[in-house]
Amino acid sequence: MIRRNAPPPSTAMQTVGPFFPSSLAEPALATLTREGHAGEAIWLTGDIADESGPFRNAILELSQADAKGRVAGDRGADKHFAFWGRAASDGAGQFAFRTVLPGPSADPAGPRAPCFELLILGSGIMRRLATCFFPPGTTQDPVLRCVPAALRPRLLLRDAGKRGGLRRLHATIRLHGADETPFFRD
Amino acid sequence: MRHDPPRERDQPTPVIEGYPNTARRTPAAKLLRRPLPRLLTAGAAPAMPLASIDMAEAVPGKPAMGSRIMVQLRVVDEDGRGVPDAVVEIWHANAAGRYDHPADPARAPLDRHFRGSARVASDREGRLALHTIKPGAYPVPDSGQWWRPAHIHFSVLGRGAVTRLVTQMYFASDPMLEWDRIWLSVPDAQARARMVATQLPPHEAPITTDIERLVFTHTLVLRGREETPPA
Ligand SMILES: [Fe+2]
Repeated sequence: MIRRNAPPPSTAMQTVGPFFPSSLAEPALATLTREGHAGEAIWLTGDIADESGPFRNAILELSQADAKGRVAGDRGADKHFAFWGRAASDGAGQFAFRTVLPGPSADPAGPRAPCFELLILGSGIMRRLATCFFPPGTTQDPVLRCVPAALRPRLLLRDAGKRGGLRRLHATIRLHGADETPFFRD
Repeated sequence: MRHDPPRERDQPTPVIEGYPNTARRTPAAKLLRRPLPRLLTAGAAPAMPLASIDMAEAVPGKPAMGSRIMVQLRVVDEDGRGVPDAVVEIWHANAAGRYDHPADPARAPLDRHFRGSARVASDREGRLALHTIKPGAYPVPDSGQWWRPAHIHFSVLGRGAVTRLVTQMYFASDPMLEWDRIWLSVPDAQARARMVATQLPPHEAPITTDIERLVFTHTLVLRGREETPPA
């Protein structure tokens, strides 16, 4: 059936280019915790590199559940938690979010392990570039199962000691090359 | 809500000749399929500090250089329904084609009366108005002889992170479009045309409008639809 005046499909993506303003990546957006949040506060850190080395000025956007596994908009979702954050990478490709360790969550695809969804934007990234990371040792998860077994370790965070008294989990993101991170087509 | 992947021909070819970052930053492996996590479809747009200002007048009473414009934006889903409370982020070069950004090596001058970015929320019908100046074209750094046509960058956060849109808006009747590798990277001509704003004849602009502005309308379509698409 051809519909007359069918609404157009979603607008084409275009790169953010090299000049995404720092005024739109305020440091405050990298802190998802608010005073009085539930659960264990952690640092989610990472380093991102492209084929030629550290990726400076990448924009990373984090989506995750709260400490009890509720997602944004759920009844009882933690009012002292932001569910979404944004961080920019520095000259060494390093970035950091102050967040909580999410709880396991319910999902139509099955029970989800705690996970951190990351969207990556930057000069030369023309399309949606999305992946997700899991705490060390995660084995059971319906999304992780979609990843070839040999590549699953690339989506596991590494325990990186403590920073400012908080547990630090670290993501290694490689956009292109032999050790590249698995990404999802959503 | 359904969130089908966009049609291939409506989205850019990820690797663009003459834009080396595209090859360095595009995964070589095929993207993996997965069931879309509820984590990405639930929830409203994140709460963010808004800065709805006149970009054409960063200092009140001191207009920026350039043609004053208003862009009447509408944010809709794939059923054409307005998306309320979407967060729309805007940034662009000044009238001389210079970004207020430390990485911009352009020789063109900065304009301290121009505010290079804003963050605004859509209203209940998905509408918002953007007050700014028409940006200038600029040469792409280290690219040889490639210039970007005048364009405005948009970043939109709607309901559910999977609706995330990052795009650019272009201006009609610009010969530079046909030379721009980024605009041309979208294979479908209609999809390219939908990135070009519509200009209203000045005598048809809304009477409530500040008459010292050229008026454009533009629609940004986020992913997601309620109904089943036609077969
Ligand atoms: Fe630009």
